[in-house]
Amino acid sequence: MPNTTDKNLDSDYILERLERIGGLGHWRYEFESGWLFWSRGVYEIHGLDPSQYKPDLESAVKCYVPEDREHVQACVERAIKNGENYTFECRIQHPDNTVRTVVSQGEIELDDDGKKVAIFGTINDITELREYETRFQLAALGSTSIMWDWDIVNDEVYWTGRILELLGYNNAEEMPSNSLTFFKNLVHPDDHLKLKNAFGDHFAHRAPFHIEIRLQKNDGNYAWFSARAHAHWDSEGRATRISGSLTDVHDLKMMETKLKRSNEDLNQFASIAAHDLQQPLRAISGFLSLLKEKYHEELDDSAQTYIDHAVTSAENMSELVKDLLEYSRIETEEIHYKLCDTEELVADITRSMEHIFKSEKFTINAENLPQIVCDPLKIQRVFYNLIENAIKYRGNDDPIITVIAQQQDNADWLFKIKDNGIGIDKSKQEDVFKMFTRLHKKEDYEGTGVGLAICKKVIDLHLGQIWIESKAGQGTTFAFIIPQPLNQQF
Amino acid sequence: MKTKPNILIIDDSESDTILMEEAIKDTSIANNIFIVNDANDALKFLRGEAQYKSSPRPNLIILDLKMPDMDGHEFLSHVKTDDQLKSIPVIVLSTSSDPVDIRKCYELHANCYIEKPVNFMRFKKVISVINDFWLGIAHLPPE
Repeated sequence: MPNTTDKNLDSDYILERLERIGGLGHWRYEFESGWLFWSRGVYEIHGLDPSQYKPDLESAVKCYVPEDREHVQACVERAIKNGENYTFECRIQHPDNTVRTVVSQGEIELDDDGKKVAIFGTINDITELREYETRFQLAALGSTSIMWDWDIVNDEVYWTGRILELLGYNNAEEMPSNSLTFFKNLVHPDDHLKLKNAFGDHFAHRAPFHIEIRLQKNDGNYAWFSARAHAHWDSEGRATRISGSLTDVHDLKMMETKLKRSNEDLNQFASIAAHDLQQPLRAISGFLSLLKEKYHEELDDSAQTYIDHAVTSAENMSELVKDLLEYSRIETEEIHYKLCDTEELVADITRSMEHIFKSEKFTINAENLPQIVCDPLKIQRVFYNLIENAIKYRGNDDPIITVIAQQQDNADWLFKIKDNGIGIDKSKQEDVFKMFTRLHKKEDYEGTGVGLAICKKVIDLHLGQIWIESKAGQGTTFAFIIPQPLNQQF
Repeated sequence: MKTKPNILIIDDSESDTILMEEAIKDTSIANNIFIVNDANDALKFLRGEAQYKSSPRPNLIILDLKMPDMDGHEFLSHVKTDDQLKSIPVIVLSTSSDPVDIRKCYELHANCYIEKPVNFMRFKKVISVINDFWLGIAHLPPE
């Protein structure tokens, strides 16, 4: 026996629950007596209180929004006259002016002689449903993408209206077919396999479905589209349906190709220019050095000084060309993320510095530095340039350089490189990261003015930040943040 | 005392080859230096073809990368796939510090990659180190 009380089996109670849960109501109008009955559900949907309002045909019509009243009346009158069932959609206005959208359905009751005696109707509140639909339709209309939905089991496909516009058709009649086969035939032959694999991987392994393919437009030309989608799988893991979007990305794709080509050209140009500029510089510096070496005896002191100046200038220019080449390379090269031990990296740089600045006394303190995710080759350049600067722009005391790292709340790493050098005046701190900024006379300090611009470029590429904390005469602290990816395996 | 090692220098820049010769002159080990300005000619030299019928087999090759017509990479791919020639050590001495160039050279089995310095003192040092290492310390393939 089911564990229910009498009340739960009572048909009136069941009806009341049915109406409440389903947002339904029913009503009945007897033609002869003029008796109009409203169920509790009808009152609910109209926002009316049964103790305050007794329905009659005349006032009931006024429950609808004014613009729908004529239509409602016409539908009901026609049904009564012809004895036909009816369905229409209309809007009801509550006393507090809220509007609900309902579907009204009804049928005519006949007596044994076939005479029309009453009309029995239901109304169903579909306000939320219509709301979703409207929202979807407006979004589809306002979007440059179209939305599609493929019922895999029945092989039926649905597209939002803009598909016509997207494929260059003026109206639906112009389009030969709306079948999936038709759309499959629009795919560029070279993209068929890509599309097949994308569907396969998504259906079988639930890999994200996002591909770029070419589709043939009405004018016969192919254009690039980006498609994204997500499937629905049944309990046995079979994909039964897939819905997604299709966006025209042709212009973007063309720009991207153009940009890529121009980047490649630029890279090649920079590399050729750099090589062809180095060669004459090496000749100038090399032959002048040979001149000095071989004809040492015959040259007086000022001739030797002239040669030294010329050699130094040629070598400075060579450094500048190399730095410019490196700067342009950083700009065009892709970023390769890897796990990098920054303590090891700084230790390597320390060894290089000890080799380069053999005659200088300096100390580099770098302990407990973390492993971070970055492009190690590029980040190495940042540490190298900053540490080299700290030694180069030394004050009167022997350079002491301290490298520290602090992890931020969001897991990003903040590095600080402090020195006891000449410092940088506050007014000039923003300029140092610009190309060719030299704050000091070339005779006092070496350098091309590209080093810090390279640092900034690298940190920008890592989507981080770099800044200076410094007072003239009190040393400089370079600080930079390297953002860390979340939930990624390296 | 063994016979003097033969070094083949392939470089299209006359000024660079003069500087190289000057630098080699100063090193302790005396060598026979052959200079070819074009990679196509260098292949003929190695194979004893045309005007190079009587040229000796070099013990070491110093190769520039950026050259017109056939560049250093292409030359490497010929030499290192030729059974008769692939055992000769090839040192790439180039102005380029581009990681792409460097990687490609090693992939084509170059034996060593050195960036050509602009400073003459450093240039001499590089030549002297090449001499010390390749013709002093290292054993070259027996003839």
